[in-house]
Amino acid sequence: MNIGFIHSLIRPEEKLLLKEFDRKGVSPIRIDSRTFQFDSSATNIQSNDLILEKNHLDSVFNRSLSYSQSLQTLRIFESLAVHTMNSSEVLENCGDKIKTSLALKNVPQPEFGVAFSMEGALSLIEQMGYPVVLKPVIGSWGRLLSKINDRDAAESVLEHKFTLGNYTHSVIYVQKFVEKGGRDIRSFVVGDECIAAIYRDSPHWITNTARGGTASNCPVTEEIKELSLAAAKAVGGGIVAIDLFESPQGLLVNEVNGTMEFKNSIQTTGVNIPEKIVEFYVNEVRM
Amino acid sequence: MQTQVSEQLNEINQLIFICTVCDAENDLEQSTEINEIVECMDCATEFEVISLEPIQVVELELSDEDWGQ
Repeated sequence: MNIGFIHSLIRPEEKLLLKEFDRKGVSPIRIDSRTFQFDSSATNIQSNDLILEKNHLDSVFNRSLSYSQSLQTLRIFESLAVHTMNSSEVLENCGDKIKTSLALKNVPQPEFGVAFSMEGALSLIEQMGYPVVLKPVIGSWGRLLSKINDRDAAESVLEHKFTLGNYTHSVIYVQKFVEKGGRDIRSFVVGDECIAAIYRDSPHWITNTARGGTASNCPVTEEIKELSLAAAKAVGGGIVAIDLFESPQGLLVNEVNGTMEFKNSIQTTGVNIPEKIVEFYVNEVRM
Repeated sequence: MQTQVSEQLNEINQLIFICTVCDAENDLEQSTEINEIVECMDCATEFEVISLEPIQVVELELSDEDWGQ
């Protein structure tokens, strides 16, 4: 079984995963997505000093930090009939917020909308009612999120997006703001199992741990489990992390992450997340 | 973007790199990997390890808009 490990920077998460592969007696071939090269007419693929026959790998496991490099590299491997985890489809369903919201059509989620013009976006926001949150369609770690409390703020932020942003910022994704009581829940799904969950508390409305949110254990209730598995299934399964809001109407799925970070959640939950991930993946590849 | 390179010593089985921002000497774990992120204990600047023999690090800039999860 020849496995490729697509990466960019090696964070604590990648180190822990590589250690688990080692414990299982599997030695993945590392492929740095930043220096990846594919030539349709060549028989090899390259990355740094690595030169691999195109048919050498049975499966690739993606952990690159870059969404676009991950997506295209996975697509290339899939075109070569190489098994991928997560697949490019899952990654895209998670990485593009409009695709995520559309995929979650049968799963409880905050109200959302899409517009492509200043006038259209203002009309959409007023129709939804303040406050709303504007999010880049592709983006992470809570960057460039804007909570819009009134029309003045809406006009200002939209003008900035249309004037200063590149064309991707003129696709306006709007989500109804959910009062979540200073915290959200992140659950971890590996295959058909919701293996753990954490609360992320923050006095700020953005609760990402990358933005200073603090993690504590969250017992996996039946509701969390069911909703997390439903969200994971909606985006295509695999290894995903689900962000949940506790709204007055019940749990809502905010986002689904296709390349989950978990270093702050192992001790917090007492669950060996990298072990569960590698175990699941290796079993999938061997099947 | 790779900005600076700190090419440093390997003394008595100790892996060490010198922070290119504050000149502090930092120990690296024996299990350090290529492409791993390491942090200066004094000034908290983050670096990527680009070579182990000899040890080379470059200052890390996590500025790419599509990075993260």
